[in-house]
Amino acid sequence: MHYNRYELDQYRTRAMHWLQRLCCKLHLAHCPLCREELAQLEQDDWLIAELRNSRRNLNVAPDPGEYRRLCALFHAGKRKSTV
Amino acid sequence: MAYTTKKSLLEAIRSGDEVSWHEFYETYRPLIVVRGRDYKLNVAEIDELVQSVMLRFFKRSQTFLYDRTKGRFRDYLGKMIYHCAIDIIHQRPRNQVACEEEEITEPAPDNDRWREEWHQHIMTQALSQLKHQLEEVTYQAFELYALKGESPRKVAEFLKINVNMVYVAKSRAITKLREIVKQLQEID
Repeated sequence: MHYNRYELDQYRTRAMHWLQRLCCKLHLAHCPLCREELAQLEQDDWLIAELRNSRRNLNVAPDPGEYRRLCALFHAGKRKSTV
Repeated sequence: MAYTTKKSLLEAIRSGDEVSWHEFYETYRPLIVVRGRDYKLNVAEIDELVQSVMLRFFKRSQTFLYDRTKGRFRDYLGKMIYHCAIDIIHQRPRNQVACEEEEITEPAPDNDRWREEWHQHIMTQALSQLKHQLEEVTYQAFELYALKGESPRKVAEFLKINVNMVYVAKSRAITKLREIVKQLQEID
């Protein structure tokens, strides 16, 4: 019997009942497949941390009028070049 | 932005498809702003940088067509931003120019910071695509649990779903996200 990803996620976030956690821990001691799955979940944590970091760093305040100004500049430039 | 929900903007640029100016602006503006901060431009100069980069890309038409012979889009954009930033710095009063220019390094393929920022850009784009590829409740569960760190029980109550579904949502989202990121990195 193996644990699925969701159960392992519950295990590592301590969302399982303590007795279930104990059984899972004992199982992990002897099951390389489940340990591999658990390691994958930990890799997922890295991905999530990268996502959070990316969202934070590239969270730039929008400038509502900027695009309109760009269009106006672009069209002004076009009119000049056709004169 | 219906177009980017169907196809990656980068993929479209690389394949020579016409891409709307607005989509290009929405997608790359944050990256240009962040790069402007790296070059220590002030707020007004960063606005000018965004303007300058956008207008250079679209000076001939209202759509953007990427020339593949110019190499990787990432490097092309990086160089474009750099040259525009240099022009802005040159416009400063004389006594400010010298010390600022020394701090600017030309974007190069091995420019670590630019690569990191580009990677962050890929991640945010991937997240944006993920949102459109998952069912709404799945994405919400993933966002609340994984990205915002809410407890699975709270998320389940809020979304009126089973707690196990929160874990399933996270797992599905992560699997999908890895595929999207890989795809975006391959077409860069």
